[in-house]
This record gives sequence, C-alpha cells and structure tokens, in this order.
Amino acid sequence: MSVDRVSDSELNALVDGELDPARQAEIEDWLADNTDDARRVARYRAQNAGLHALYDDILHEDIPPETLAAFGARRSGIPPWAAIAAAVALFIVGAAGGWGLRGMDDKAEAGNQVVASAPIDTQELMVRAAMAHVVSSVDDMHKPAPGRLDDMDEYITDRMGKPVRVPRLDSFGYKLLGSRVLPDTAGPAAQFVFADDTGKKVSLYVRGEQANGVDITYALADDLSMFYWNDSDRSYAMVADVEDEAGREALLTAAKAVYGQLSK
Amino acid sequence: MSTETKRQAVVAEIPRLRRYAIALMRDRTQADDLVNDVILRALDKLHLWREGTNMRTWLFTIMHNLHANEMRRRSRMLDVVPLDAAPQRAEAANQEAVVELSQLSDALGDLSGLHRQVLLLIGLEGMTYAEAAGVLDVPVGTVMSRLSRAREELRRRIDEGASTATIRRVK
Repeated sequence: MSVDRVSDSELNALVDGELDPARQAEIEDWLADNTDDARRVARYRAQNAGLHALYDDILHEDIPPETLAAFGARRSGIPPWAAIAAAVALFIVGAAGGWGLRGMDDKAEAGNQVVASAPIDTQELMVRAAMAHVVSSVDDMHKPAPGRLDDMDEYITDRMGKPVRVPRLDSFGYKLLGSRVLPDTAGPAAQFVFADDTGKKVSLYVRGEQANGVDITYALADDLSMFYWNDSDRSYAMVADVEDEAGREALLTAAKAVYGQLSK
Repeated sequence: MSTETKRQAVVAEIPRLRRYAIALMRDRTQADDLVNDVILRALDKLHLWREGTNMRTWLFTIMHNLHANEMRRRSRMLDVVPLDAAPQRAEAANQEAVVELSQLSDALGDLSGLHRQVLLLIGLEGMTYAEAAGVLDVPVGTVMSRLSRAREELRRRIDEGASTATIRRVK
C-alpha cells in the first residue's frame, strides 16, 4: 500500500515507536522520498538524544540523604543513617568465631541464645551497608570488562585514594556485576555487587576506619543477613537477602573468602 | 509482595524521579524537595499501590499531582519570583556539542510547563503515550497534540537560538 500523506502525529509516533510494524515500514519508505519530513524526524530524534545528554548524569548521582531518610524515620536533626537505624531492627546474632555457625540454626533458636542489639558503634556501618545493598542498581554502577578485573581494581583504588582490590569470588559461584564508590562519614566507601548462580544479589561494603579487629560477626538488619568484620584500618560488611540456613552458610563462605583476600 | 519489596521498588525509581523533576523544574533544590514529598506520600500510600501495576507510572502520577498543586498554590501568591536556574555545566572539550546542548536547555526552559512535561515523559523517560496520558490524567489524543506542538516549538526555538549565536560569532 502506498502512502499519500503522513500526519504530524504519525511522524511523532514513528520517533516514539508507537506505530504498528506495517505502518512503520510504510512511513519509513515515505521518508526516503520526502526529505523535509525525514529531516523533521531526525530533528526530533536529536532532541531526545539531547535530553539524555543533558540529564542522564543525574541517574548516577547519589540519592540525597534527606530522601533516603524518608525510608527510616521522619525526624530531622539526626543523621540519616541514625534515622534509618531507629526504624530498622539491628541484631547481632553471634560471632561466627571458629568459622562456624553454631547456635544459629534458625532465627527463633538464635533468639534464645545469642541475639543482642547491635552495639551503637557498629550500627552506622550496618545501616550504611544495608542501605547501599537495598538501593544498589547495577545499571548505575561501574561494570567490569570481561576478564579485566585489574582495571576495576585501578578504578576503585583511584576513587578510594588507597589500594582496594576487588575480591575474586568466581570460584565460589559469585559473578561481579559492578562496583561503585559512595560517600561515607570518613571518606569514600566502596561497594561491590555480585550475583550468585540463581541471580540473587550479594554485596560487599568496604570503608576505611580505625578499628580494633572485630571477628566475623553475623547480624540481621530487617530482612537482610549480614556478616561484618574489621581489620586495623578497614571495616567490611557482606550483605544478602537471605534468611535460611543454606543462604547464611553460602554468605559466610563468601565472607571468609573476602576476609582471606582483603584483610590483613 | 512484601512491604519491604515494595519499598525497594520505590527506592529503585528515585534516580528517575530526580532526573525528571530536575529537568522539569530546572532547580535542584526545588526538585529534590518535590522528590522527597513524592517519597513520603508514596510510602504513606503504599498499601494503595496495586501489585502488577507499574510502580514507575504510579510514582510519576503522584509527582505530577503534587507538582500541579504546588504550581496552583504559587500562582495564587503575588510575590512569585521566577528562578533562573539553568543547569551549570563544566567546560567541555567539544565546544560545538556544548553550544547545542545549552541551546536545547534554553529552549526547553522557554517551553510552557505542559509542553515540557509531555516532552520529558516521552522523550526522556521513554514512556508510551498511554503511560504519559495516565500520569498526566489527560486523553492520549491530548498527549499526542501537546507532544507534536512541543517538538515543533523546541525545533523553532533552537533554530532561532542557533541563528542568534551565529550572528554573535560573526560580529
């Protein structure tokens, strides 16, 4: 079927992908012979590209703390992480000392044994790691080039201002999806996001901090499971959305691997 | 879907809500205030969000309504001072591209609010006509006619801006 004329609406609909395929093909044929209309379509497409060029950087900006704080408590005058801490249940279930999970068979039993409110000085780390995990969108992260994790080491080290290596967890079944550097109280923090073989997200949060060598500790932040620890100058938190025994075991295995690779 | 999962779905839309609000209002402080209001309202009304429907368009609809209320409120105030808030961009190596983008930005700022909304929802956010019509609560035909006029208006203003810029360079 030949095309006699094309309306403004149809030129726009072509740009916006709103035409059915048959009509789209007809109009594209029409444009080949009607340069004025073709030019208009090109201009509209350039407008769209220009809008993205102007505003897409915003997608990669950190979410303002005031906005995140809305997810915690609607109070002002306290740090956003504290507002969130007030609304999130933070529990230490027990140190995983000796690399075991004894006494942590399930939440209820753990509740009778070793559950305690998280000490105040680790709450901030827990909240930051948990929030970073929840709001991480891989689209907005620095993604690894295949087989080039060294480049990623360099990227993170540049932005952290000190050497930080990406943990290599492929042999544990975790694939690196991306990383980013986030603002934290005492300077930048790094976050690495991995996916396990079922696609479930696991993230590692690392920040510089004068610390005193806490052993790997299992904690709960709302629905999230977390293992955290620190060495002399850094704190680490490994977070996943798991609640069952197998999930915790897998997370601990990964945390131990990270400990072995990154901690001194 | 658990409340926590829904809240995470809200969080995931914040970058897009901010991008749209900043492009629409052309003022970061006001845009972030608007996004905060949207988030508070959305968390308050989270039980009203129906599973299986689009979280993004739901949030954009809330934003549109809050923004429209705010515009109505301001238009009733006598001492409205329009804010000139063109985004500041760093000097880029590609001067030509920067000139074009700044022309686009200026022209966008000159569009009416109704035209800017529809242009951003479709051209920047990539919504379908039906989605944009839902967010703006107008018929699809209205979206299409506004979009068509907005794009022509933008083209005309960019061309005018370009010819002015050329004259300035020649002088």
